[in-house]
Amino acid sequence: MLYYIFTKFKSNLLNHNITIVKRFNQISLLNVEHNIFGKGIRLVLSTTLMINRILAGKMRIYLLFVAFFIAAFPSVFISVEAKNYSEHSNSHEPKSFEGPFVLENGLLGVARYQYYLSGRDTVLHGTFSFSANINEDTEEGIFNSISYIGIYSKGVKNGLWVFSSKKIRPTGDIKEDGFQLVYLTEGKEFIVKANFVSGVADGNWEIVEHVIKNSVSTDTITNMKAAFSNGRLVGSIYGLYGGVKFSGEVSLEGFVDKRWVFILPSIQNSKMEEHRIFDEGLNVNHFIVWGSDTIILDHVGLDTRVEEGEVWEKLIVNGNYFEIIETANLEMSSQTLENTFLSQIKDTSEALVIKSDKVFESVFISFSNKDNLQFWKLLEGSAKLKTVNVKLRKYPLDEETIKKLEATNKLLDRANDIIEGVFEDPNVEIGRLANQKLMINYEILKVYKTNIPKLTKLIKMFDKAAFEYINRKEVFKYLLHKIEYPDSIKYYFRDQYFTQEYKFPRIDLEVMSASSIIYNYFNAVLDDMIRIENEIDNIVENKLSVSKLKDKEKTLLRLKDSLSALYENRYKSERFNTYHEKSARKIFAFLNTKFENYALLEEQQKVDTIDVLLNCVESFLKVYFIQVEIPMRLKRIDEAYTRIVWNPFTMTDMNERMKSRVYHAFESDLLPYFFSSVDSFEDCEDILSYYENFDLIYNKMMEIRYQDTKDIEKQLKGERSLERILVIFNLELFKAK
Amino acid sequence: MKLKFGIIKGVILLFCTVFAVGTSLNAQPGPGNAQFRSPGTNVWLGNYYKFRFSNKLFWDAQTHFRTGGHNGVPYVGRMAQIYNRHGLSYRATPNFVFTIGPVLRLNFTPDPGNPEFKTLVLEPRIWHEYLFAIPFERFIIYHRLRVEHRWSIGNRFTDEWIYRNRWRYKFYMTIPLNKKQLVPKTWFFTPDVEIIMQSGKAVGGSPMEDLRIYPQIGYIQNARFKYTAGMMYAAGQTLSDAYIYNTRWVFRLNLYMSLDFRKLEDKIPEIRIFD
Repeated sequence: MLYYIFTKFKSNLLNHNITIVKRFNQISLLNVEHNIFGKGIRLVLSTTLMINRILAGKMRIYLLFVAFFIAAFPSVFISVEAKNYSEHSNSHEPKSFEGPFVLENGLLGVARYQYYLSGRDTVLHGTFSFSANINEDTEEGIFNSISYIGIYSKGVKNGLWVFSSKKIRPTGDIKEDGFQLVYLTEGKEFIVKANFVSGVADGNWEIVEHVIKNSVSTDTITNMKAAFSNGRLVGSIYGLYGGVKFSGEVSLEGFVDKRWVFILPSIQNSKMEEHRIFDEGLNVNHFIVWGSDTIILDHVGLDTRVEEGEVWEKLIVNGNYFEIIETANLEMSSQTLENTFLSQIKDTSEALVIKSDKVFESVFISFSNKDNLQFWKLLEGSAKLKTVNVKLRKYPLDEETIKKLEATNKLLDRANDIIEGVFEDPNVEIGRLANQKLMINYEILKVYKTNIPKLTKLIKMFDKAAFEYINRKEVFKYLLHKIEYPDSIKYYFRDQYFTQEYKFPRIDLEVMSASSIIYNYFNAVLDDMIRIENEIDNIVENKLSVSKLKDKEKTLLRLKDSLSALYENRYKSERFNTYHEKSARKIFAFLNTKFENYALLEEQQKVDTIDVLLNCVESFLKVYFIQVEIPMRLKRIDEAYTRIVWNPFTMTDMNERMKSRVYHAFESDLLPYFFSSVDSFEDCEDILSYYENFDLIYNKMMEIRYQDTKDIEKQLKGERSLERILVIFNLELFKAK
Repeated sequence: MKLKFGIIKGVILLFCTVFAVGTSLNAQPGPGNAQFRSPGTNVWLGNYYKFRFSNKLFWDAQTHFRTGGHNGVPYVGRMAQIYNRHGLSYRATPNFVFTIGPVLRLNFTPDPGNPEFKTLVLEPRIWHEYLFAIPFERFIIYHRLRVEHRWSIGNRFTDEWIYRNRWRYKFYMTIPLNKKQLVPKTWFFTPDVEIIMQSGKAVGGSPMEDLRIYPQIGYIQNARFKYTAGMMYAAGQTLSDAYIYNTRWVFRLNLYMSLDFRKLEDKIPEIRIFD
């Protein structure tokens, strides 16, 4: 009766699961489980109804009211629930639940399961099913749903479990079906059939992946079968993954073992099989069977034989392992195929190996992972699958090696800079057509330019963690041998072909350590590149200099004219003063000699000296402006060392010299020395320095004006030695050597 | 340089002329009944000091060593007076200075060896002075008002103390000769006239104590030192006989020194803003 009543009202209690539990004859327990906030937090609301079977008929309306009240105001009953729950929670009687269920990652779905309560814990026990929409890509029209079906035994997975992941999207036009509008779908369905014993993977497992078209399962693209024992995949495993058939074995210790065969899609009707032979995780052999031919794949740098004293590590068969495999260079050999053909198919072979790697990795991952979803972890009650491993020899990086590798990286940067600088310089590009030496250097650098990317690839390996599992010396040697340098440079210059021998750097690879090989090799290469760069720079600069010589000479003449105009005071400048007048003749005489000497030079000599001459004229121009300042500065010093005092006898202001000994030394010794020195210049570099002495003297005078100069004045008393006065003033004036 | 030597020569010539005239003049009858005694001769060596204490205050210290003609030795025949004048000067404005202070004059006997005279008598005074300067473009005019309250006694043993007030007005100018301004290294000429009036019981009908005409030539060495030299002619009524005038020729040589006792930082002029 009660069941009937609540079933009636179930439509009003949409988010509630109502069960009736009969207990203690006269007492019935009403449970209302509510998924609060849709976040999977279950609140169990219950109340105890004193229902007397006798009263049942009269209480019908009353119960209807109670049921409604519970649905509308569930919180009112929380305290009642708690009390009743605690009184009756230790029962192991199985119960069923159907409703919202949240996975470990927070994904909300609908589950139907059986359970019992242990204390306050819900213990899953019995059948379990769950389904949910991930809804990650609904914007792109893709619907992803997952589901689980299995059996729990006292909270752990036991027996057959099936996980499926469906990714479909609508296709075609919308259709009417009764009162529903429906789409056909296309996509994939991924199914894992697993067996557990007490929560541990054990027994046969199978993976199937179908392609769905028009809402119908069509092709099977993945089908893998394997046996698990005590949580680990062991024994043979075979199947199809992504269109690649494979088979292999895993040892009891969890290592990839024996022969692994990947049957790849045939190429030009020739079968393609990739074989990897393992010995307890150690890949001892790797080859491709192409039709009737066998191509041996040698991973240069990976050791295949265990010897004493070596460091070997166990690695999981995952992305890291395959990165190591791909980092080690693939060397191909065959007894039946020619090397030329092998080199032609190298890219294809590498692509095949990478594809097999993908299959290989997926074989182990797929049993517990689908699109990065660790699906068994999302549901309680099962242990993590044990990993399948391989063995690899480790070559630890020591401090010296790390430093050398870092240094090599810098060398590489420098080399790339040189390449960029030279090949992007339009002066080189154009200049080489006219300058044979430039052309030769350009062609030499071109060889380096071709090889640098190969070296770069090598250097980039340094950053990978995988590098530690690779025999670096072997790899370096292998790669450096692969870099070919010609014995001579061939180039085309002014309608003619030329050949010139050139010794590219070679180093003895056998005698060096792994880190030294690459560093020394790079050093040798870079030295040669720098030398060439310098030569190119010199040629280009020289070429530019010659072309700029005329411009510079024009500038020189313009500056000389300006200088003449200034010292001859053609513009009747007020700034022209006695100091200009005094030095003009000597400056002109000096410059005329310089210009005469310059005129007699060869063109290249002119290029070499024009800048010096320009600097010289510029120095004289600077001197002119220093001379402009001299009277003004002398006046400032005079003013600074003069104070105005009020004379009480004449009742007038009078100037008084302050620090008279300091000023006297300045006036009688320092200034005369300065003026005599500027007249004695022999070189244009000197004259500017001589005139800069005036700055030093001026600054010193202004500096000590407001300082206590008692000591200086005491020392200056009767002092006439210039050298001594310079020491007292702490002045270091320029003197030509 | 020629100009400088010309000035110096001119000044020397002027002094020689005045000196010669001064020593050869005898007492001449003046206007009315006035009689002028033969002029006496004196040399006054004066030191004038101004010590600056602050922006406004100075210590004014003056000392004269005065000699007079005696026994046929003109100008320097006897020690006449030693004269100490001190005062505190207040520079109210750059053109007005007020001074007040004491004077102590030591008067030596007018006739050394004569027992009728005391060898030395003291003459104290209190003085105050009001000095105005009126600068012009090429010269400066000064007006000096000085009041002295003096207690004096003659050298005779029978003489008694008398009290007089002196009322002095002096007009003088400073005219630079070799430069346009009174700056260091300047020669200058100072025409100087002073009238000294007196009052008091003992003065009677002799109010005009002295009229001094004192042309000087001076040289400003620097802001601290200047020197002047000049021949002063002075004439004034005698106390006993108002119609009799004493006259004097006084050769004066003066040193003027001004020192600044302020701290160094106070002396530093304002910062100049250069272009």
